[in-house]
Amino acid sequence: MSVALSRRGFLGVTLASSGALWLQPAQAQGGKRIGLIVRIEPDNRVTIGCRNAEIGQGVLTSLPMLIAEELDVRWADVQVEQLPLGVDFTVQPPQWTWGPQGAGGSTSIPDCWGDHRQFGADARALLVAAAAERWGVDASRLSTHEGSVRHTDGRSLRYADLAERAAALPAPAGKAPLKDSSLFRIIGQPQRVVDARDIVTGRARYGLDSAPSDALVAVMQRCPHFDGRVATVDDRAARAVPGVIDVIIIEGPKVTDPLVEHLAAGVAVVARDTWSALRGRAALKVTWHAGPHAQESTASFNAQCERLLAAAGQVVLDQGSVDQAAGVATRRVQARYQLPFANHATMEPQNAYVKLENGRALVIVPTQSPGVIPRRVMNLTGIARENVEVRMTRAGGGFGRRGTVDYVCEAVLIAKATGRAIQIVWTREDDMHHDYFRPAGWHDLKASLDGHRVTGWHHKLASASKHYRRAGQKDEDLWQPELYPDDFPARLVPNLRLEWCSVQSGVPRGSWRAPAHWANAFAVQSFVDEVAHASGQDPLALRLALLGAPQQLPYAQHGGPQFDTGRLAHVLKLAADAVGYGRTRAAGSGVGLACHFTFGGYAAHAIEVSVSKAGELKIERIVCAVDCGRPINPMGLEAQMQGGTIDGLAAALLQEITIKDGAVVERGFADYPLLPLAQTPPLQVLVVHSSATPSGAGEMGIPTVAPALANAIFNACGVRLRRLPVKNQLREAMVARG
Amino acid sequence: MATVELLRRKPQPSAADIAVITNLCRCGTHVRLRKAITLAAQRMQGRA
Repeated sequence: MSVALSRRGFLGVTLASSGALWLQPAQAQGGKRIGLIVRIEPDNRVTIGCRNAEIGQGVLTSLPMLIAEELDVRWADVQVEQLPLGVDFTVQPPQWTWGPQGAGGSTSIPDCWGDHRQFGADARALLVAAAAERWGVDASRLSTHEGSVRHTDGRSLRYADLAERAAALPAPAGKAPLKDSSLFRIIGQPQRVVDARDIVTGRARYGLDSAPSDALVAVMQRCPHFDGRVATVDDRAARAVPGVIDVIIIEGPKVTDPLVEHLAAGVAVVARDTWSALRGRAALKVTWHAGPHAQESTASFNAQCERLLAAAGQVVLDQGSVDQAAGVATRRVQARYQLPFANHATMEPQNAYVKLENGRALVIVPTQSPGVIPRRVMNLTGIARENVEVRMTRAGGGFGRRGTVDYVCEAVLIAKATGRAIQIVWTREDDMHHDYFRPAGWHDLKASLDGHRVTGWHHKLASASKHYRRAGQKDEDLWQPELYPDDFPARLVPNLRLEWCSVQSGVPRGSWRAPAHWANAFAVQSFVDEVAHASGQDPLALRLALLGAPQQLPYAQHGGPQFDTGRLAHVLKLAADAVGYGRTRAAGSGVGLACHFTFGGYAAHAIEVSVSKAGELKIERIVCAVDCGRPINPMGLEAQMQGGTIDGLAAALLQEITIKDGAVVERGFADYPLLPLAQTPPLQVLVVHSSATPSGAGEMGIPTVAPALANAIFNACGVRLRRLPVKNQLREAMVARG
Repeated sequence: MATVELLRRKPQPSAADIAVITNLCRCGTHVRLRKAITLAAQRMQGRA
């Protein structure tokens, strides 16, 4: 039963069949309707909705903590529900019902820090007002404590006994006051993942577990060549496989189309179950037109980088004159760094459930971008956006891959063609071949010095822009996702030039956790060490000298508006101290450092390694120091830094996507390895207990791992690795050295 | 399952014993996996 008790006060109450109440007073805030996402259960437990998609980053725990704190309930009494996509399409432009619901760019915590605490405070104010009315006293005489409203005379009422009346009251005038942070009892306390028990006992439902029983299973044989087409299909044997129901040809996007709705042409096999679908696919006989990129290979990509770097690029930032600085320099240093394409390799491969029926669509999917799905469904089917229901499941990893919804679009096309509800399932091999890969690139770094002082800095990058085939993309802006002009050392060196060269490639590209920071921090933080060594300086001392006295620098890219050099220097020193930087070490042992500002967070890694004469690398230990502002859930923050560090380590040591004949070579975890437990070093995470406005934590654990590792290897054995992944390079270098 | 089998064979596993586990983890829970296995071993021995 649904009862709208009062529209005047922007209030609505849903009386669920359980008798529980959703408190949903929506406030007019700059024209935005934002509803409370709190439900008080009859037994006084509290259900809090989580609007952002859970992709393993911990939002099911951390976001409800913000609400529970201000609502003043016991955390043990809180249960959490994943909210579906909530968009009001009846207004123009459409409005989020509960606020933005994407998961990416380390934005969940900073987006929710303000409004979630307000949701909790407003709900609490309504409950207090209901109690004041019941007792006929002024609300100022009442307080709350762990799910009850208390009178100064000792009486108290449970929230559950007040919820129905509270939900009928007008929304509080203005904003209810927020707690002073000294009173926090939930924020800042380590909390376990709310559904950890479900996860370890197999009860947690991921996308693959969530398709209703009416679904047929579809798998696709996609053209392995970028922008290739289906030439011929012989599906007789496939159709003869028991359980196979249909075989459908899916036209790929045109070469001139944006690459948003699907990635590849192919043949879909629809069957009653996954096994039959896979057997049917194996029985297909398909030939392909290899398409316009059939000649592309890793070698041709590299040759292009080399050629482009030898010519003038697009100067995107030119402060002072690097040429003049070079002309009068007492020393000039230069180095070239090379980074590969990478796959996201989410542990749960892509999948989606789509049902199209009577002008409505239901999509159940692990995604980072639920908000884009209604438009995609509309474009492909004509179904109005307001008739598209999107439910998010727990996702088995995201890392940026699920920011695009090509796999949903495939399921929509197959559902449309068959008239049946479809669960599309990708295998590991499908997922390794077809992705929005992290762009590869070559970085040329040049520095000019006057004595110990860095006077000029020139970063020239040849890369295949992440903004590949996006609608409305201008060529002159393609550099923007590749170089962030306000990154270190902007404004810290007197002459700075950033220059970009556009590499042409058919490899689909997209956002990979900490997008350009991963590559740029490797180049820049490796090069700082090289400059230090070339000019007889200590790498830590040079970093601290460059960062200088603490100051707030403007930072116009994502993660700004400011970059605090003091906070970056602080995490660097913390990591250096913890690893025992400067201590005399045995021959073959060394330490390396790196620090970087990523999406509002400050992180540093200190890595200690030993390298044998044969080039065997052992990572002895890693320290990660992080300042993400006020930690919301310190346990979650630590987990993110551990996960980011290990992700960064696997990427630095092992992972590379290579191209041959315009197709991806790697097939799975055998040739695109994850870090084995046996190679995982001891890892210490140091968290700065800051009271600054919190940033997110999803991405800052990654960019500094690879440069700290390369710097440590150099410190240990004198071999400078400028190309990732490390793979066998160290062994080869040590053998070559003899 | 690999952990249950490990602890059945080695109720007090060393770091080297734990490192033999070859299960893949994409999200980087390696540090916690080791901690959890050690904790489970202690609990099963009635030591924690």
